Amino acid sequence: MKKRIVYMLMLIGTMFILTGCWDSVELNDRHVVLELALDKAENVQNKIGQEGYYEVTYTIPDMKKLSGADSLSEDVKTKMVTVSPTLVKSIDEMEAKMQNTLTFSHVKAIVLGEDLLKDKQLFENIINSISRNIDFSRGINLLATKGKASDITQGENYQNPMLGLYIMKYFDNTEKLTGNAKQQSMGTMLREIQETSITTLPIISKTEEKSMKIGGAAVIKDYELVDWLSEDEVRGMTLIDGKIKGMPVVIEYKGNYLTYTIKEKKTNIEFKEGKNLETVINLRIHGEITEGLSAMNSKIFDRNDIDQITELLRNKINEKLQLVIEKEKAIDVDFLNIELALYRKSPKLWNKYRGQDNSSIISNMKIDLNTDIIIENTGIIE
Amino acid sequence: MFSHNGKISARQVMILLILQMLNMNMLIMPRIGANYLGRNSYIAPIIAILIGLIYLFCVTSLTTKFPKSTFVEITKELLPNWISYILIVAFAAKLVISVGLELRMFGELVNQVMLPRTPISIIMIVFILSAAYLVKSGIESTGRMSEILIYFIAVPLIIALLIMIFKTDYREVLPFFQVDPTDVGIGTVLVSFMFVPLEILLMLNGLMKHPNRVRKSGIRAIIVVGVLQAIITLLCITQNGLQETQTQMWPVIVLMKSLGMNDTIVENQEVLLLIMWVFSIYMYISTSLYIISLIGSRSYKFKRENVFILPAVPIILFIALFPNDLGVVYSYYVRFEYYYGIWFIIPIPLILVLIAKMRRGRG
Amino acid sequence: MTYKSRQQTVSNEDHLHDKDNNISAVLSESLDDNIKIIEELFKNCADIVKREVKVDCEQPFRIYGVYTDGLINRDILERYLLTTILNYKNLQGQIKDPETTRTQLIMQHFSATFDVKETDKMNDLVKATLSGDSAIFVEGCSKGLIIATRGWPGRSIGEPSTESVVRGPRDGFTETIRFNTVLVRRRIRDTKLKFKAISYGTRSKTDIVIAYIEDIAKPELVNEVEERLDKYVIDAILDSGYIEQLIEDSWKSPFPQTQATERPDKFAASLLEGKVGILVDTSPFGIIVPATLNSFYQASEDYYQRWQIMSFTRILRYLVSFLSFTLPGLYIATLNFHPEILPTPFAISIAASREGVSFSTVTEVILMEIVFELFREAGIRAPGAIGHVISLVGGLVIGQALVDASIISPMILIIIAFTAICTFAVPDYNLTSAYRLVRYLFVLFAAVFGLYGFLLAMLLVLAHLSSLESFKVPYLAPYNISDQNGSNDLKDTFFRFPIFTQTTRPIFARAMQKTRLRLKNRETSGDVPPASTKQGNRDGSDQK
Repeated sequence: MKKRIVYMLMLIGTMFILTGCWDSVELNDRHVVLELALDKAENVQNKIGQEGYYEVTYTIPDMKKLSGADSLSEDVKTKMVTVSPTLVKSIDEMEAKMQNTLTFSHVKAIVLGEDLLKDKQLFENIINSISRNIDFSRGINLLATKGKASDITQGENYQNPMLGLYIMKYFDNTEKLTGNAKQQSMGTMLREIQETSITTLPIISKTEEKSMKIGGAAVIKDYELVDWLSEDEVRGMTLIDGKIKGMPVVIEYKGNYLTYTIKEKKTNIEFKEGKNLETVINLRIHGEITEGLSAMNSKIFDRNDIDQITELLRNKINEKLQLVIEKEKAIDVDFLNIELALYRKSPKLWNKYRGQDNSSIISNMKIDLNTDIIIENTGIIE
Repeated sequence: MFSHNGKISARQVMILLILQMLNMNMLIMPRIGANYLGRNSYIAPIIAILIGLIYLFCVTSLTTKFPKSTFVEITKELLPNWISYILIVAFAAKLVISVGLELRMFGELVNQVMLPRTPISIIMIVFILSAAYLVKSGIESTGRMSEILIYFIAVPLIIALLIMIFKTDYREVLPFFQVDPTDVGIGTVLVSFMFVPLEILLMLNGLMKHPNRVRKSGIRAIIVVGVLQAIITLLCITQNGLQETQTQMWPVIVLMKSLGMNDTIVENQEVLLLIMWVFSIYMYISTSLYIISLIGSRSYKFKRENVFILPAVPIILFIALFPNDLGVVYSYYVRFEYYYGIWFIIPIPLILVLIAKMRRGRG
Repeated sequence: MTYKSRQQTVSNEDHLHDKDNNISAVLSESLDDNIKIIEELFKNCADIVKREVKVDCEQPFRIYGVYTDGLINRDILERYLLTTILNYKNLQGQIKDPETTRTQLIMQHFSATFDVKETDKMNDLVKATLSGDSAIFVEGCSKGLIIATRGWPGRSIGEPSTESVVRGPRDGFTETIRFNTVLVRRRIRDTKLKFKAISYGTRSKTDIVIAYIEDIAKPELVNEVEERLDKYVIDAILDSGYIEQLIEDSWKSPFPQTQATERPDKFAASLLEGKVGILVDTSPFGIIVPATLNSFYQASEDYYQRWQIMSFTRILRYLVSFLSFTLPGLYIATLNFHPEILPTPFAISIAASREGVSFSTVTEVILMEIVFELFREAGIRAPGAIGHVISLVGGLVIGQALVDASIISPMILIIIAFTAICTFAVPDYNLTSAYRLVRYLFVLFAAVFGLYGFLLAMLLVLAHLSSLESFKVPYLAPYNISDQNGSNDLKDTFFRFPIFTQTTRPIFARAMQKTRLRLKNRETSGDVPPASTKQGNRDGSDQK
């Protein structure tokens, strides 16, 4: 009897094994997609009428060529385009054209085209699909572009043929100087949209020298593109609400250009209740002077000189900040998250000043700047 | 010194309790907490520790009166046979249903995150047979295994938590205290259901080497689990945002997915948490399986305790395969826990204590 | 050759032997009867030397000597006994006491050696003959003499081949049990070190010595060992491996539950911890029981060098042995099921290297495992230099050829080669054999269920180990009994704590004999490092 049970178990065991391992896919039977380009399809109308179609551009890399060896295929990467109403349908179409299965677990970046960003429903739907799909990790970098996204992903890039890898290395590099663009990942974007419905995406664009540039930002409110921010404005934005590392500020002093590099900053937003609500942005910046002083014209700087330089720097930085604050007021979208800071500090105030129709607070709010600059090191060796 | 007397030490009891309480409930708790307490739901588990201590007190006040006997013998002593029979069957049935639902939830989890195309029944069958393999050797080897597994579970968990703690943006938890007290009350009570597995102390009591240390083990277990749940809830809210936490069915999985440091040896550090999860659920299911079998063997006064393990497996599998899809499972799980969870923790032990006191008073 | 223990009785019995192949013939007073019995027993044994000698004294009598040629040291027998007997003239008149039996006479006057016994059992005399002693039958006496004359050709004491050290003693056990006990006795000069000798095996009658220190080892353990040895009647013991397999707890488990060692210092150290050792004649491997998983990772060199480097080595050993049975399974699981775990550049290069390979990963892994096992076996069996060449050539060249022919991918070669090397990092050979088998379980589970299967396999192995016991000590002690013995046992597991902190014995020892290291001027132990300032400096100052 005991033997029979053992044999039964063995039989069942072999049955499991021989029916196949359901999930096992050899690595070279997969197409590892490294980046996606999402656009709104032109001139295609859905039968339903309202929704449009997505044009999804997949970049299928050839693994062997990517690691330097020779292979059967022609190019390092192959471009495949599908036009479909949903993401899942798009994947389905792709599977019909591919010999291998698609795997999205290594997607590093998703580039969104301008048309898609302007279409609220399409944008919301695609973000929803991506966030539901368990294959996509929440750390995928999202980028926006002016024009079509597929131009970017198929564009020439002399540094790295695969845009996904380029973007991954770009943002992962902790030694890099930042300040030009604010990185946005899927998880963070979802969180921001759910909280304040306002978020920003960095812009990626082509340069003339066959390279890519990441700088500037796109402001999104309620899943709809509101406006573009220039690089200067983004610098101001990161000064208020972001991470800074090694951002240079150039001033003119005594006929020379002086560069002050910001090492770290601390932002504190305070709110004062006067006649109306007033905001004071306290910024405390640490940095050092890296350029502009040579041994020739160095009379050792005394207090006076330092003060003057500090004043000039303060003005310069305040300029940047003003720039971005003006922009915020102009487009009436609080991408600096000032309202969020108000909500976090004092929800009562936030409730009080919100206005009957939930209009934004900042449009008429007076915003003062209080910038404190500390020069740690003038860089002169005595 | 190492005789086969079927007893486990106090430390092993503590670890078994911790691992019992680290079950699928942990994954769901942040959502429930967030629904009632919003941004401040991380204080709920801390307050729930106090409620957990009440549970512990109720259960241990019964067990300390009858050291060296399990629930089966206690009820047989205190109550007439037919009532005790009903109670024992109810207890066993509760455990069986809990295990079945837990197994199904776990199977769904594995199906979603790790093995999308494998049939859930295969995942579950393999799992429960492996759990049965452990407990067929008795409680001592189960206790020893738990002592080993706690290292395997604690280390990835701590590493993953540390990574997350240093990466998150803590401004999400502001503003503080925007909730009203009734919500806090209800939320805390619901969150305190994560301590319901303490009821296995009713059975484990007869197997302890030093029954007087049970309170200390219980207190330590409650504190560890409560603090852990608080940290995980905090991380869920800060990392995922409040709304995601309130809407996602398994916010902790989303939390796991957002772990990710590139350029390290292992990308997607969710693997760490998954390892810890599989191990923890394994101990939950094997311990529960053992307790079920123990109930059976004690009520029929068998010498060997592992007689009922293999018969219990098909019943559990049937319950696990019964619901049709994840939504149904989830609602069964939540409802079952909330309606039946608390019976064996507070009312029944207290009633039995009263009866014991009355009997002692009389006799 | 398989020697299963047989409980049958018929084949051994005849008129001279009983059912256990012991001699049941009786030692008679008549020398001729004894001679006849001996002649019959040793018929057709050309290596047994038998000779009758006449002792010429007042009442002359005959003696009959039997010994095995080659097993004895002829000097003792011939110079110190026979010569004395033949030169009896010196003893005329010295034989005073008529009550002395003839055997007593020979013992007192003729044998110039201390190691002479008299016995009245034919079985003992025959066994002594076959063991290298000389048996003397005396006319008219119902007792015979056994003279210790052992001296056979044996391997001299050399470095143990399987466990060599950089620092530490280099003597190893040999096939002669007496040398082995000598090596142990030299290290523990304590009267409480006991060597209990028993004779095992109906045909081989091998000498087995159970070694233990009386007041450290638990008496239950010693009794248990004896009981288990008593359980079987086997016809021959050819190596201590037989004993191991007969006394172990769980025959179904691939993990060894006893430890075999060739090093006397390791043996002695285990005895000092409260374990029991078994030495078997004709086997250079001594057995130590009980054995826990942790004890397999303790090499004797660990204690002779400094604690930092040895802690590092210990951790490395654990890590590497873990890799040795999990790495192929892990590779299959991550590659086929969860490629998102791998860093992207790594995944790309692996995918590139796998292009064009026709077999699936699982097939590759199993194929290469079998190929490596083949090489290992061939390397052992092939004689001398060829063996080395085969292993080397096989590993590198054929592996490379397989890669070039696109039968396997280079990554697999690296993984399997690395795994093969990792298997040798564990100091015990038995355990690595267990790991080699467990590896296939992992590969199987990982191939079907991916990472989930890998974790399940690990849980199954851990569950198996948790329920395993070696002589009632849990196999995974001290990891899972840390609340006993005051967590002292954990000081010698992953880390090897400095020697002055290891003041108490592990759980194997009796409760009364816990302290093994203490400061001289204190009764109790305390973790005071050597040359510390707590006791003041040696020159009396208080500064560091």
